[in-house]
Amino acid sequence: MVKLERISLRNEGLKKFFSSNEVRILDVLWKEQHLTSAQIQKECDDLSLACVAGTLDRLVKSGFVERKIDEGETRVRYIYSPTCTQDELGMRISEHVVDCLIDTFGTAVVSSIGKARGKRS
Amino acid sequence: MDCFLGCLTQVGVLLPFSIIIASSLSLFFLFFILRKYEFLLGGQIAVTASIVFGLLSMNCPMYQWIWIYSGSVSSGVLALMLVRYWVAREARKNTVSLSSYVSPLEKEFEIPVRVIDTQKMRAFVHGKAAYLSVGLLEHLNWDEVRAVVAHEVYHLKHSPDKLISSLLALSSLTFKPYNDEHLADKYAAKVAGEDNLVRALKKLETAGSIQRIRDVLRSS
Repeated sequence: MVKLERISLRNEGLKKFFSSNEVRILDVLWKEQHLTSAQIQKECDDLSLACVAGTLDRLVKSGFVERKIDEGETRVRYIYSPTCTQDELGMRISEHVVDCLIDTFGTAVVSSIGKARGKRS
Repeated sequence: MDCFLGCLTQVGVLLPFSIIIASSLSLFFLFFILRKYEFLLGGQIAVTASIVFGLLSMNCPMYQWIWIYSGSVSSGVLALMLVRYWVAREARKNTVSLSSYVSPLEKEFEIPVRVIDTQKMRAFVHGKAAYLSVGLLEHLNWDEVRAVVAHEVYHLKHSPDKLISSLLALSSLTFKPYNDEHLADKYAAKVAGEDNLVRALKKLETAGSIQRIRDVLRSS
């Protein structure tokens, strides 16, 4: 799950919760679903292979991306795919953040979510 | 200094002490001339012996140096052992089974080859095995992988054990050189071909790889 200390509310979109490289790689994977690191690097061609590799390891470790080894006779490679859709990710992050807010502020959070919902509808 | 020499002459250890110092200096000299690690390790053992010998022959307040020396050496040993344990644990925890892929390498080089579960391109030796990452196997072709394994095999068979050489460097208050990358590259170029090694080094982009490529090409 996204670490709370990594959340930066000042940033735009998913960059509030992920680094810009992580967002770019997640976007590519949401679009294509099953890719190798070389294909991901081709899509993000201004990122080096080492940078893509480090970011992919981090995304796998934090559970947003999964990989399986594709072993052929003459080659070995990872195939990456996202573990959830963009909407599911939104749900997971929201639940996590709301849980943390409720733990800290109790019922005040529930009423402010209700108010915010009222304003938007 | 007078006190130090006085102690040494008083207890009659000046001659053996001088012999140990002279042999350590000769071994260091031989190391610098011949670049054989056995001489360096021998020199470090002799320096350690001379320090311990010198400290034990003290019969004045300098005795406290024994405690300072043994304290720093033992804490260094402990720190190194912990690092080694941690590296071994991490390496064991993160390996994946790709035995059919790496078994030809194991047969050719007669060492166990293990595969680490990471996209980063990594190759190193630990204990008696060579470790390669999935990322490395993915981006290097078979001949380039052979060049990398040959390089690691050289370290495994010819470079001194890192823990022992670190301990000796620490206890002899000297240095721990690891400038045998060039020799390992020369060996890898001979076994797997210079072109394959150069291509692997280019892909790996490790620190100093440009210099290493230049060295390989220069020595050919």
